Amino acid sequence: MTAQIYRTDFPNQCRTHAIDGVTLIFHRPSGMTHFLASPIPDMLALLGATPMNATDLTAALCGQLGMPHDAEALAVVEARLAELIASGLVQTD
Amino acid sequence: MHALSLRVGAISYRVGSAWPGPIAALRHLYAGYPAPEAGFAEVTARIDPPRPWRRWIRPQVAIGGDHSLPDTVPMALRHGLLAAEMAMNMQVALGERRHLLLHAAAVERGGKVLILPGESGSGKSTLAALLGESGWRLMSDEFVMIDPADGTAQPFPRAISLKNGAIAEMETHIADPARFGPHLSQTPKGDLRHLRPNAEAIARMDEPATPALILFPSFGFEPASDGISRSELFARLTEGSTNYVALGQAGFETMIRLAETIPAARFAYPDSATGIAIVEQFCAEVGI
Amino acid sequence: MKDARPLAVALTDPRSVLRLSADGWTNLLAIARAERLDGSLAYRLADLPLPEAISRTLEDARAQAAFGRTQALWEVEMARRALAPAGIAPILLKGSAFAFAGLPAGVGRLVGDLDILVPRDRLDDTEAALLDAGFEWVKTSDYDQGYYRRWMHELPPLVHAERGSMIDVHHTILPLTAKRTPDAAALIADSIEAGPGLRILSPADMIVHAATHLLADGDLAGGLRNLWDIDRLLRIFATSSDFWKKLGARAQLHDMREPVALALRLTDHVFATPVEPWLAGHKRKRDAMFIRRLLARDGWGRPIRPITRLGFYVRSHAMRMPPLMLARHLWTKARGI
Repeated sequence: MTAQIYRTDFPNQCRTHAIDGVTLIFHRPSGMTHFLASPIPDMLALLGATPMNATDLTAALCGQLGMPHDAEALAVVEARLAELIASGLVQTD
Repeated sequence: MHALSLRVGAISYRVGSAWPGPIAALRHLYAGYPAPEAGFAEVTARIDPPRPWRRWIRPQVAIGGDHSLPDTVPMALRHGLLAAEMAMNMQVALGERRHLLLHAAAVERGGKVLILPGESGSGKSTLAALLGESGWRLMSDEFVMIDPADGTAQPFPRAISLKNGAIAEMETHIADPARFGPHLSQTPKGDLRHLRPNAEAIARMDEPATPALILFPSFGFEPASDGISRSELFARLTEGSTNYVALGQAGFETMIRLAETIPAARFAYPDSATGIAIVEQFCAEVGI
Repeated sequence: MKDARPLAVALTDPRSVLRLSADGWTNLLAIARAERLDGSLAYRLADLPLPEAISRTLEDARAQAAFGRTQALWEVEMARRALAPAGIAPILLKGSAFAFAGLPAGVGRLVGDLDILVPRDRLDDTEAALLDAGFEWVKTSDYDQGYYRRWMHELPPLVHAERGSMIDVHHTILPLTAKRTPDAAALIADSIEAGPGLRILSPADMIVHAATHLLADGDLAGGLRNLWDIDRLLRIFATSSDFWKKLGARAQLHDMREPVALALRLTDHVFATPVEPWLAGHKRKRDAMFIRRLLARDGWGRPIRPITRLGFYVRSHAMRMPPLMLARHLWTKARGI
């Protein structure tokens, strides 16, 4: 599970707009609009730059946001990744 | 088929009915409205019996047209006018692609539009009707149409639906009884009466205007008000739009522009007079 | 008799609409919308010099079709993502196939559910993968589940819990109980890779499937749109010199010669499609009844000709199920079980 690589077409296929601390994303391929709060936009930006697995993503994210990098953080990232896959913003190879 | 064609703002309708009564009532309610542009009715709304024998035997009225929903419950023939109005609403709700739809009433003054979003029971129709008789121009009762090109609101002045207590209230305000449709009792929406917008609203149905304020009303509570953040405004307007998704990125851009540029608030009010006073207070603050 | 003929004429000969009155246009649009051909019609008429109000309406229909296409292609992509880990490359059918493969039949076409074909021995894996990806069963009564699994050529319909979109998973193209039995393995063997992880039927099989769908499977509701698909497909496939021969061979292989022949005669009659005479065969008396059914729509968009329609509804079920089963099925349905 942690070895799996996650990819996203963000930001290329998206129209993004920040409003009141929320990030609105219009995803062109699906025609769907997403309301995303931190840390999800940060996760998407990291994956958009470099596809990576959940472990590496957690490390990068925690580093960027200055959060403790522990098992709980990994669990949160994996849960958010599952949601992003369900919504189509992220896919696995 | 008994039929009537008419134009309301940007929408040219052909309305058909298996029975003559509802068409006669519709013709009376929309007296003074123009014919379709170039004689071409773009949208078809229909009321038909759900089964052939229901035309005569305990008549039932099903709403339909270019677009229809599978689960709508048939209505009694005496509510035929309401069914025709609902069919006309449905075509716009399900079929409109040119403008972004907001589920709201709207009134205009000095070139600026006040938008009142809300569900049934929020009081938006009554407030809009009252404002429309006191210095404001009624633009719409049910749907506000926003032009994606420039963010302006396009008029869509259909007959106003007055329910229950609002009926008596408007009857005291309006001198001309010919502007009212028949009193419909015990409809699926309660007691109901339609009100034709005044001559000014009809004459100016082709004049768009700029949205300037969005107020969400809640009828039946002690006076109170609260600002609405931009993200919440985006969410609430999107939820209340039947065609936001279908407009794709243009819908997204249009809604962002509304949420970013137009001040919004919600307010509660116990009666119409207080509601109007609160509305005017807000308008003064933003310069309408 | 006032029926859907104006739509057939407009699609076949776009310039004919230049003579329409305002009322004629309103009728044409109502018919087109009812037959879900308004997008296709709007693209056919795109280059004509038309009055402004009508141009705007057609522009809206094209915009709606374009958005529908986006949604259909997204559903294809999400199905691909769900099935790829299990090594299943589904064969896309009907509108989704046309849109994905960029076929003219896909232009302006409003797509409904996503229909896919998979080998029968991969049905369980397909079901599991789709349920895992957020799909749920639509018909939840035990009887319907049983009926579908035992007798139909597809899994019970699945709907996505979040997106609300539907997917129909087929393992052959006619129910197991039908008299004719197309060769599912041959359909799959001759399928073409349309993209990574996605396949479509070969051109000849696509026509056989369209004819099957039009005639042997359904009650012809929405038949005009299916027939238009066949017209559009034939015009492009027939540019290949050995196409008609292949079509004859595949129709023979799938035991669908008569339905294909009938489909060819119908599209020739309704849309003036050039068809190969020896495949189409000579006109039959019954052809007129099919045409009546296909055009059973009035200028208000209402279905007409109820006796004809009822005859086709019972006929379509009779073709799917042996008479005793049909009686039992309709009885159970009527009792509301």
